[in-house]
Amino acid sequence: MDMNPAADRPGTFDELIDQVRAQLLPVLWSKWGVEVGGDICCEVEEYAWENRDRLLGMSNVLGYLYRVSQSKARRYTRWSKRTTFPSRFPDVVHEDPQLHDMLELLSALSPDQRTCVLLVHGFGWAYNDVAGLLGMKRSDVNNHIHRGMARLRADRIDDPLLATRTTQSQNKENIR
Amino acid sequence: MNTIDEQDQEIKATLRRAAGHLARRGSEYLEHPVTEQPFVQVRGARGRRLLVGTAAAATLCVTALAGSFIGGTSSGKVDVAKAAWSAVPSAPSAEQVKKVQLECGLTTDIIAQLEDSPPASIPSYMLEPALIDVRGTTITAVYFTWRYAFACMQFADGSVQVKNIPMMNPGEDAWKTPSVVEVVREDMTATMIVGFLPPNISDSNPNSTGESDKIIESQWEAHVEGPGVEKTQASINKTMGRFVSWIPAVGTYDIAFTLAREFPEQSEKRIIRVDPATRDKNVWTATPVTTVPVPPNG
Repeated sequence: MDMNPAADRPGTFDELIDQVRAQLLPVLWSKWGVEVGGDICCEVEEYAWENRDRLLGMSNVLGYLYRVSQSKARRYTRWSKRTTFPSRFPDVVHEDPQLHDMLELLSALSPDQRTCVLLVHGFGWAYNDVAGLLGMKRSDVNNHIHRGMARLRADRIDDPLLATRTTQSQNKENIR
Repeated sequence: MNTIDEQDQEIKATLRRAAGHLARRGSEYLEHPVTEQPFVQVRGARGRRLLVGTAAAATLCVTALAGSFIGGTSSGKVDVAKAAWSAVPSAPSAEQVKKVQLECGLTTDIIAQLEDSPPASIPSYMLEPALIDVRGTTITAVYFTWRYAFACMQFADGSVQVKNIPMMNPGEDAWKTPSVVEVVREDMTATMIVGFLPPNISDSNPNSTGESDKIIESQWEAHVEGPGVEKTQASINKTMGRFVSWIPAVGTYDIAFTLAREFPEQSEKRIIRVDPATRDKNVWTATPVTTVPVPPNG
């Protein structure tokens, strides 16, 4: 994922939409979940169409549209106060229990931690790319990932089955 | 590797699957075409950090692929590169097949979307890989739908890259037009070729009734040849009459189909050439250059 804003500045509206779907959409999925993230993306695309002339001249248009998406996201949380990244994933619970557990653990992270962890370790983005799009310092991204991963590790160990496995692994290490 | 490293590797592998799951579900929700799953690129400082805790094979693979190893030069990187690619595919283990199937995550819904058909119409055999190609530490699973080959490459670092490759309709001349795509990673560019073997009906014995002469399983073998590239044996599904192969380079390559028979003079060799200059978007078209029978030794 190369997101050098200068190199990747879209020339046409179609290119901008391609970039939104390839680069901004994974951010919105990670932060808000598939459904709300998808809905917000549609609203961002609508905004992009209405303001296309202005946006196409920007140097970091995706970063700007990310801020727009945060404004658009407010109405999904303001009144209902619901967690938009779902905490239950019945579609994968039998199909892939490990994936189901991971999605549940991710839902317990803060939105920024979840976004950074998923973008870097899930979607394969570089720290600088994440920082550029989210408008954070690289050190902030590093902190979010560090804390997110620490929490994922800790929560997994809290699971009695995983804890047993971890202990067994540790025993093997000790024997060696 | 200590326990935290083990945990992290497991967590990161699951995070990659979680990202793939979100991308698939997200594309389905927005009714966008699901073309490629996200994949992890190992590069730069992050790549080097990632490699610190990984197994030696993965380390060797990623660092070596950036180097030159085509044609077996005598640099120290050759042995390392062999960890990632080999000219001759090895037999897949049941564990490897299961693992790559799980990582690919191909579902009826994805095929249905790809083929623009209702999920109920997707036969179960399409969810099983028709070809498994194991070269060094890279495993490729190829699934065939009616119009596409769904190729899923898993690299030594655990990352997965998926390609939807449009295929010719099966037919007498389908072998002349394999589908060729570029596989681009930060650390290498490869050429993947998926195609049909030539027709497998033999007429070698003019006195036979014809029934006994029909070869149920294709007897053709396929190799990829080209300048600076070791002769690469393709993985073949004899029942379906299809093959897959990949080379860690991009260029003009000949695909040689050989049919060995009891009498050498009856053996056949057919060659087609694929050229990046004739590429159409992501898929190249092949140009047959030689289709005349020649003895394999000729």
